[in-house]
Amino acid sequence: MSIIRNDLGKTSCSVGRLFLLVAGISVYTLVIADYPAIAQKGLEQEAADRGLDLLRVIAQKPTFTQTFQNYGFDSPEQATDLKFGRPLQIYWVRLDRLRQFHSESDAQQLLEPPFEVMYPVKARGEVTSSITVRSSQNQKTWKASRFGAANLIRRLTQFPQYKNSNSSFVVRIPGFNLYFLGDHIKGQFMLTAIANRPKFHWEAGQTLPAQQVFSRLVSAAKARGDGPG
Amino acid sequence: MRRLLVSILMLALFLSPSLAGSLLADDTSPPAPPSGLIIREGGEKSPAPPAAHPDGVRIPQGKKVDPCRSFAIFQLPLNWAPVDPTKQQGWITPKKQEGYQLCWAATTEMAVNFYGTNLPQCQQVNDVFFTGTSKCCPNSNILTISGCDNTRWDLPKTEFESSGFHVRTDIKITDWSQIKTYLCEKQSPFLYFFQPADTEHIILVRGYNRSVNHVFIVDPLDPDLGPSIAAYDFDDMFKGGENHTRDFLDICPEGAAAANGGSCP
Repeated sequence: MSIIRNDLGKTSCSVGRLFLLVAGISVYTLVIADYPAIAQKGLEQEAADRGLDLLRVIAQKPTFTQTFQNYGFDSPEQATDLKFGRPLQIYWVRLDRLRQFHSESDAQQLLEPPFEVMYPVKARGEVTSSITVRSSQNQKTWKASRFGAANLIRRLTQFPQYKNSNSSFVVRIPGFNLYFLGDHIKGQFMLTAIANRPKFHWEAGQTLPAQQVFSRLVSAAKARGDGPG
Repeated sequence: MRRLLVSILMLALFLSPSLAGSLLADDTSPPAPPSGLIIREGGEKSPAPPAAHPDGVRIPQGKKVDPCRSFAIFQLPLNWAPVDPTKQQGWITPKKQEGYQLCWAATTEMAVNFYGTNLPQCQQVNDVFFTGTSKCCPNSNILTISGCDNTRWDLPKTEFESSGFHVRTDIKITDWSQIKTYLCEKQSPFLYFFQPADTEHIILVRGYNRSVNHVFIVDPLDPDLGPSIAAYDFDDMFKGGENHTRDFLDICPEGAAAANGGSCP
């Protein structure tokens, strides 16, 4: 009797394991493989957390008092009670693709796949610094690679398009040193300027359709010299 | 439909913890220990062997303490005060780029200003694009006069040379010993070129924290946002993470380099 029970038990166990194996593979295939961002989310956050631990130690060490400026702080005392604000994924726009842009183009298509996430760092509730984590080319590893950039992160986080949104992100156009807050508002891809650009006729805080912003940049992109800038 | 199937499967797993446990049991490994922070107070425990000069000459180590070898942190000081730029020596005064394409002029201005030479960005633009005129000065003209906000592939090398400065453009930094040589031993900032997306940008390097593998930089960034001060990961900058293209090193007045056999003292 006990032998029969054991055999039955083994059989049911094997079936259960097989079922769970199939279920596991299905879950992986349907969820994780379809949405790689979900799989990577943890790695980004881990890298940022390690960066924040590092920032806490560096900025508060009395022996490092001369270096706190590099990490976005006005004083070592300022670097207490550090917390993250909502992170911003960074999408780049290449100059060569901008040159090809025309009024019928899809503005969304200009965005390169993101490999950087900028984490605002709050000290005593105020955004004072940032940590940017970057992924390797295969997106398997993430590392906190940039610290500080206080004036950039303060500007990026000061607008309602950051404060009142859970979906805004950064659009960066290195060819013109331009940064925008991007978002989808009522189905339209919109960009909020974070700096004044009289040349392109927008002011800091102004929100425009991405299509319009990119269109205004096309002729300047075509005219831009091939040197560093 | 897919989402529904996934939800059912997830629910099944949730309601059968013992079964789920048996499936995961073989794959359960102890979590990796948190990576520790190794911050060495005051210096490196085991100093590296004497750094090699780019020309292959060993830098002799005497009995005296060599601060560049003994301490993990070095930085050329910052000076934010708006003082007479012609009297600044030994300080880095962060400058924003006054045009959208003038990172070359802003970093050159900061580098030569370190030696007490005043070379405004608008003057550099005049030198290069409108020789013999003052078209792009004062500064506010850069963004309003056509052609003043401009760049060219040979910049800023020609500007350094025409302003009486020595600069080496044939070395690309790849290791810490070079950073120490040019920043700490020669007490001079250098220009780091990299390529975000498909255009080149220049930032000024002014220090490092070897303990945590960081390099201290000034990015001229933007006419409106102003210069940005930051710490970048060394490996990301020099070991392939960033698209590092070249460096401008060994910057000093030409006379000083000539008196020192062709390189900065």
